[in-house]
Amino acid sequence: MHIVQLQRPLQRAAASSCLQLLRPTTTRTATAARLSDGLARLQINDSAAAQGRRYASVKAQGAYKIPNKKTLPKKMGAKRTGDQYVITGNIIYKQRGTIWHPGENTIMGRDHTIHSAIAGYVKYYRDPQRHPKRQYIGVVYDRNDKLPYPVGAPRKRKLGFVAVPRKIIEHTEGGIGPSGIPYTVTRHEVTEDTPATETVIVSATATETAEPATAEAEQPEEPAGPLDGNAILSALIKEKLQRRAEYKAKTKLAQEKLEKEMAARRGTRIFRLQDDYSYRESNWEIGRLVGDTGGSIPGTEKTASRKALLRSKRVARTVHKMAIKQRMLEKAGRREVYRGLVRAKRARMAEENKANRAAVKAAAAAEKLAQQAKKAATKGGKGGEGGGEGEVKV
Amino acid sequence: MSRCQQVGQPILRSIRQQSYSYSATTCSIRYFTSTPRRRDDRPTLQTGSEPQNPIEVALLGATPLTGVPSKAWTPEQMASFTSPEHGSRRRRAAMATSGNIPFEQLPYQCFQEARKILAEDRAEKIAKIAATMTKIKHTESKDASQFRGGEHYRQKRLAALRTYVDELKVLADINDPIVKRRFEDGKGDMTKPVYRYLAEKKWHAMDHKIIKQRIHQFHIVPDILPKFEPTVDLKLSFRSSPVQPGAILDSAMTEVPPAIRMQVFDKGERLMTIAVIDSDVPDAESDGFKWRCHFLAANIPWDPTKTHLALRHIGVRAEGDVAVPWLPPHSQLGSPYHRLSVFVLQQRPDETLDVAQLKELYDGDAESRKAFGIKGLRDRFGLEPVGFNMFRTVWDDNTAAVMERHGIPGADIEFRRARVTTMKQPRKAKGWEAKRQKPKYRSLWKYSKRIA
Repeated sequence: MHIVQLQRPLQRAAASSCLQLLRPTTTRTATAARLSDGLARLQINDSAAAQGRRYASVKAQGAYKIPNKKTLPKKMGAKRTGDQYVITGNIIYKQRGTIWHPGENTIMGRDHTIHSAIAGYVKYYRDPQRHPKRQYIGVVYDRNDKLPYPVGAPRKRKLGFVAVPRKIIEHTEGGIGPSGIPYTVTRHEVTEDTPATETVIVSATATETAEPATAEAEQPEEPAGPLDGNAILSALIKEKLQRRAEYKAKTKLAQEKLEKEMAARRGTRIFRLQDDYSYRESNWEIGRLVGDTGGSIPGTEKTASRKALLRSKRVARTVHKMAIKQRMLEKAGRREVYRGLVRAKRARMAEENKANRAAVKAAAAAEKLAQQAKKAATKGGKGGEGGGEGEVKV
Repeated sequence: MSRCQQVGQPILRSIRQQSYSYSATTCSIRYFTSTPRRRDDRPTLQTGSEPQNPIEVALLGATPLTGVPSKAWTPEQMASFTSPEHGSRRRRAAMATSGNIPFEQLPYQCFQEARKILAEDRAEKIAKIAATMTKIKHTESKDASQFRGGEHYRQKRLAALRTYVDELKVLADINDPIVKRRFEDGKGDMTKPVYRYLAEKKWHAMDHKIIKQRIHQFHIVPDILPKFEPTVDLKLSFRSSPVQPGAILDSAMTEVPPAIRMQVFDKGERLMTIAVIDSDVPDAESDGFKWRCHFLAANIPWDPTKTHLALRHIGVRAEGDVAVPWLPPHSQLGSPYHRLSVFVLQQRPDETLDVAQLKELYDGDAESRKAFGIKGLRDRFGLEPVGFNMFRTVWDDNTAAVMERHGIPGADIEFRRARVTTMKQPRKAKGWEAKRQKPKYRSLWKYSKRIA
């Protein structure tokens, strides 16, 4: 809009307000008089032309040729008569509102136009069982059929398909086409840091494998150590920590492997031979390059009911508890095994002690017997040695 | 204070005064008041063996019901503890704090009053049952000539009386909370009318509606049967995973016959026939569709207590005769989805079907399988369709392999839409060149013919 046009109503408003202000004053000063004169001059051209209104007296842009919308013919009514052949999508009837309703094998459009849904013959009919007052348009396959069909009769259907040999798409990956050029060309992205990660992984595996080995080496020593409660506790804690570390290392390794695989897959691009002997990637592969939305697409998440949510929580809780119990059981089992070992060792020691004691006793008894025998011999034979002994004893 | 604790509060107060030892009779006498008896006034000594706060025990999850296993639990113990049979936390708390008082003797005044009313109602119903039974006996003993309507009237009257007795049996037990609980735990005895009634009600709440909708939306009526109302709950599961009615299933999944879950709601044993039919077999020659029998087994005894049957066990581990063995559902590439309907048909009482005849009729080449129809089967053998379920199948990655494995021909065929020719007139050629094709413009042919 032009600035002049914008200014006009403002000017008018200013003028009228000023005049109202000035009217009650009886003593007109020189400045006031000058102002009112100027404003009066402004007010002179207060006509339609001055306000920017113009009435068209000549039509523009071919408006003479365009007829009145209301009197335009809408071309309603039947486009196909009864028994006339139609194909899928043909318009049978155009109407405002539902003068005719869609019946057998017909569909109604947004503006109540009735189309054929199959290729067949048009039938105009009534169906008092469906609705007592409505009139329907239907399409049948057989010209001699009558609508409506009897209640409970199977639908009349046509296949509308032809059987052709199935086109079997052979996988042309890596093959050579008849013209002597390969069907596909594969390009691998070169990654620089692969050796570095390799060494890291290797070292990780080395440490990982080394640790359990040492642990295994240590474990047999354990029962031989002090058997107080603290030692057992510390051993258990140590075992737990070690297992946790092992698990972490394992998961990290798996994650790294997966990432590497994914990177390799992302870096591999397969170009396929086209009809015009050019090579390009498939559209879906090009789409893959962009990546996914990084999560679920909004609006596609499955809305679980509150009950289902609670149920899943309950199940998770139960499983968690079961796992805790299972771990406790396993731990108890290990403890039991260890106790068994200790018990066995104790028993063995006791046995050994007993055997030792018995051996000592037996040795003592044997000695005694030998002495007695010797004594008897000295008493009988009066041996010099025996006398010696006897002396010592005395 | 949590809700559970609130619930357990009055009862806990009473129990503390009793120091956890009482008989059922004393508690029914005493527990309606919370004021202590005189002999309970002396403070109870807390011994070491005394269990801790039972509410806490109940809510913290250690089972307080029959004694906590002191050592590590076996998985069975754990499973039994976490099983939903113990009920809600509130119920567990109530059980823990009520010291195994039988449910009927719970010391809530309103509860006991309500129970009295229910007991009265039940007694009334039982009296009515007895009266009706005597009436039935009387009617049975009387001769048909004594009725104005004769034998027909007598039979009608007897049937009416028997249905009335069944109704009364349901009404006698329907308000019993124990019955409700037992049903909800899945421990209802289906030989009893009240549990059958509850089961039917549950089925009608959702599953029946879904089946009805499938019958309507997939045009099972009128394509396969002109009229059909399912009265038996039938569910399918393939490879031990349940499937929704009407789901499109992978052909590798449906290669093996399904297992069915079937519940009948009327008493007595009867023989059933199970049939699976594909109603959308494309036939390019006639430009239409045909039917095909995928499975048929007859003479399967069934009663309300039975629930589960694997179709592959029929004739082997389960009773019944297989007439047509399972043919894996398959559909050719491009053809519209196939509706596979599983029908259960009830045979006439005390009448077995001749399996040899069924085999002869339907278990031959592909043509004889195509001659199969549920309507024909029903009419020929006097069967009554009672149960229905369905799934769908389309061509998928595994179909070709499945067809090859079972020697089914047709995997090498694909269906393409038949071309429909347009009805528009071919348009006349227009323009400068078209006009100058005539011999009149012979001199211009070098410009108007064979251009471009």
